[in-house]
Amino acid sequence: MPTEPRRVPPLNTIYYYVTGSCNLRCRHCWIDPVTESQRSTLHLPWRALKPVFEQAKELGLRCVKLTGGEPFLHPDILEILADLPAMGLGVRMETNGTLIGEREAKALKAANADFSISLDGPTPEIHDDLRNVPGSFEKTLKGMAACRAEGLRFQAICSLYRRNAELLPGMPAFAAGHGATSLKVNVITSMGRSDEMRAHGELLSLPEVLEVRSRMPQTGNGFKLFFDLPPALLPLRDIVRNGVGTCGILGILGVLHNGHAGLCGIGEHLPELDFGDLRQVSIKQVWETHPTLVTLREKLPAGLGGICGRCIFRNACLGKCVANTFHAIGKLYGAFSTCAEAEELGLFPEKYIVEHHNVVA
Amino acid sequence: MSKLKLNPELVFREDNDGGLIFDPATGDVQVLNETAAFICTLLDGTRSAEEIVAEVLEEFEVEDPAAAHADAAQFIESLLSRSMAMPA
Repeated sequence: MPTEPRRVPPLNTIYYYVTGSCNLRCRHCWIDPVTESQRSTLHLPWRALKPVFEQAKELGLRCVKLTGGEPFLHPDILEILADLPAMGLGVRMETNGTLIGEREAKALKAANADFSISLDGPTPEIHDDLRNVPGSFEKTLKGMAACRAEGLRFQAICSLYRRNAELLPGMPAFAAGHGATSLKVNVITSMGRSDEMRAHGELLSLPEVLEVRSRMPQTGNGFKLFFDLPPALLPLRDIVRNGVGTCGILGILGVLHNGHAGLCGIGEHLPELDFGDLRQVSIKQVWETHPTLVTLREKLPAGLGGICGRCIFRNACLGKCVANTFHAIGKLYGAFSTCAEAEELGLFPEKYIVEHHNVVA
Repeated sequence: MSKLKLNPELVFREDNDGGLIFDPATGDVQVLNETAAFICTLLDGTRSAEEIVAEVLEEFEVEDPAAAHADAAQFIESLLSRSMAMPA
């Protein structure tokens, strides 16, 4: 029986990939930005894109996440940080922290920004190994110090790979000591530049990742730990403490540094997920009519396949990351690769496998 | 006083840290803390609400028994009001 078309949900959040360039050369980056020397060609002036965000407010926009590349490389970033709150929009940011000084910290404070800073280990040897630029560890800690001086709350994000796995249990305390109020652990998967890391055995297997998770300490004093695994692979105590972590994909759109709309930053690399130039087509038209987004609304969550379609967390997790799944298997609604691997290895908890009545073919 | 049970159309899962109630019809899942999960294990058709609350107070060390009593009773009431629990 044909399903009725879903109503268009509000566009809650834009992921704005402010610039396509970065001052670091992170070996695991899935966006694969170019180096700083080429940056002049890798952003649009804010004035060229600001109208897009104004239009998006009519679609329900409430929040903009600034990411990149490194957002502080955009010459208009301070103006962007000032304008978004003035437009009534919440601001989030992902930054490597190396370019944050007093001026940038004050701008983040004035914007009331909810932001995160990458920190991959407690030593320069580890952090700089992954970030691939000597001295980045010291610059990141200086950036964190500038944020502390302004009394800012921020999250540290640590990308997990073989070299920092042993030291990870000490990272919550280390990050807290440098002013972070929470730590998010991202597991590096094979995507973008990290394909090479996998080839060299630098990525952890799923059993290794789960073993590292099991060694993480309980955190206290309000410090939170988020381990970025699908909920079915987390200890239930994490879910009780932090919630299931409902995916917001049905209310999110990516705006790329070149002015194109995309499912997220992946649109830059996969033409199928590039939804067109927002200087030529309105964001309203993209959001309401792009076939990929329309289908997404019909298929998520009831059309999820494989283990994700039989998971107790299906409706909240929404397949964890459909862009990652598309990259891995060429379709948006298959099983998330980590969960598929867990099932194959017998590591997917039986108690979380259920029968959903609402299923879309 | 009527004995209570979980709605048999729902799926309940638990471990030492808490539990989940899953509704196959909607796909919704409710996360339960340790105490709420313990209450759900007692919703097996052999106990009344008062008996369940009494067992909760016996099982857990609480600083404020009156508040714990009220919390447990309120949780059971919320399950009943949403048809997640019912008379056996």
